[in-house]
Amino acid sequence: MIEVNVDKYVYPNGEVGLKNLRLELYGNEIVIGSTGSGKSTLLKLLNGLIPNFYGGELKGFVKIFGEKPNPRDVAYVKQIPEESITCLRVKEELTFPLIQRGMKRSAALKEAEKVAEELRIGHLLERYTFELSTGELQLVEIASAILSNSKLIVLDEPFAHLSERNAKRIIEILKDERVVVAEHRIEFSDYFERTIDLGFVKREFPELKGEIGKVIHDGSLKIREGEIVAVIGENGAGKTMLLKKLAKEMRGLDVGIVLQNPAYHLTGRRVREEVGKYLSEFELEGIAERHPQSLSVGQMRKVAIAKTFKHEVLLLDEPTAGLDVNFREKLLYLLRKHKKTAVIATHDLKLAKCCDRVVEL
Amino acid sequence: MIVENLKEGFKEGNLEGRCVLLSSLFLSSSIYISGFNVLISLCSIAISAAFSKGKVLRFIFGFLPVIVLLFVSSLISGFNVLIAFIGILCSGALITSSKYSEIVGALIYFRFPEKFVSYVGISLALLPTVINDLENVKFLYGRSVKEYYSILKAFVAAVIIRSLSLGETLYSKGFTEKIYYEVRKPNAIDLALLSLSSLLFLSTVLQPLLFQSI
Repeated sequence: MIEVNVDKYVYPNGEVGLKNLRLELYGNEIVIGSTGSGKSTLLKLLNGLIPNFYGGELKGFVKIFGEKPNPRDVAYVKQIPEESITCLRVKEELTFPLIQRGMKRSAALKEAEKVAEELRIGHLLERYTFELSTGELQLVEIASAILSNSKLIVLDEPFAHLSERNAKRIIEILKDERVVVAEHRIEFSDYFERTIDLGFVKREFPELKGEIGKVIHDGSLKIREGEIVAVIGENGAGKTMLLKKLAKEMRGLDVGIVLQNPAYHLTGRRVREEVGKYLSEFELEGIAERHPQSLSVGQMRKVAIAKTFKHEVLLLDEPTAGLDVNFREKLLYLLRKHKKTAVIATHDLKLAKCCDRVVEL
Repeated sequence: MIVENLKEGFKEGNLEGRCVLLSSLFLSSSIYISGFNVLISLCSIAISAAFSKGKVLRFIFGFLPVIVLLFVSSLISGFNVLIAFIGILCSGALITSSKYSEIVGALIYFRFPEKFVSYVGISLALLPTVINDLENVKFLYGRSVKEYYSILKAFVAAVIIRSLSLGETLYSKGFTEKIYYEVRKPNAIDLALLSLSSLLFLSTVLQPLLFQSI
């Protein structure tokens, strides 16, 4: 059993990460909650990153099967897979945890091939990690965690970058492991034995109808004024490439693009400076004076999208990854309210269904 | 052009790790020992370019701003310095003509401590990822000189975040300073590279001695 008994955890910058949390976990849980509710903090506590790596002040304790949290016992899959890269090739990335545990290279490679086939990523083994799409990289990192033979695997938003088919396949494979998953896509909660709610309140936003005007671009994709187009497809299908291509084609128009890694977009000193007049509409007042790069991934993404709202046409790559379902509704509401034209590359089928048009790659 | 050349340049080649590492050392040492001799520098460039099938020359384009800067300074200090610098760059870049896991294997073979080698290997593996960051940032902020400050700011921020997250990743993956490496037998082409580099090195070292004896 995993025992979490935390009175309070405060990050070194003074931000309270968790408060009064008492949990008993058995290894098949999904943790849900609003953005900033402490899901990632909980997973980092289980892995031992908090407080051993992060520092800060922890009042309380966590026991993993009677022992102190230790990265050798608990594998951790991060929210942004690009940040987990340690090796040049996929086969090396997969074997990394096994090599750390002293396994011989040939034996580790054999194990890696087996798991890669199971996850249907065998064709990626010889590829460079920096050439993979975010979704493919997410599959590699999950495979690497499975390979580590840890007592527990904790996964932070593992399905955010995965197609529904891949997500369901991963859930099926993870059934044989002890896992704790933090996820915003609550549609997957039925597949887990227990749901831990760290504070999720569903909000309603008024439904606005879009007014679709004349064709403003006819290139890789035909786009009409005021239209919201969803681009869906399997991992590695080329959704991001399409958005980048569109951005190049539409240089004559007022276009803004938000890539999957929000950190690239944030160059200001304060969130207020980055976002400007959209601060209150994106509910960012509470963090207005914070440095954008000090925020959580979800918050950074929100700021990056708000920053891009000054443009007429928005190209958004996985805009809801790392953000709760309320933001999904809110984003559509704001796009329609401000009469924006948008192309959204997403794996979130619920978001896609609410768009004016869906393009499948 | 710079980013594309760096990206291509950092992709692995097929030469054997130990031969490449030794050759790289011999070629760059020859340039130093010869006192930036133009002929030795040109020989080093030719050997590196020929065996890497022109791959090392991509680095010259990748480091174009530095080359331009050196060109300006060479107007005062002499063109041999510029050619020597290009020679050293090509010799160093020769290591990208092998698999990085073989370079790591070569270091371990030559009895470097695994603790040290593991960090070298991770740094090498992350270089293309950093180039990717640069490519994305450049894509976002355009190519104009006006945007240079934004590109620099976003790139530096991305690199700082990457290095911080690398520390976090290594901890969370239970890094014990071990690394994946490969060692294989050299082919004829690897031995030819090593022989030519050794010959150049020996001729550079022995040249002053021969002149003295004459």
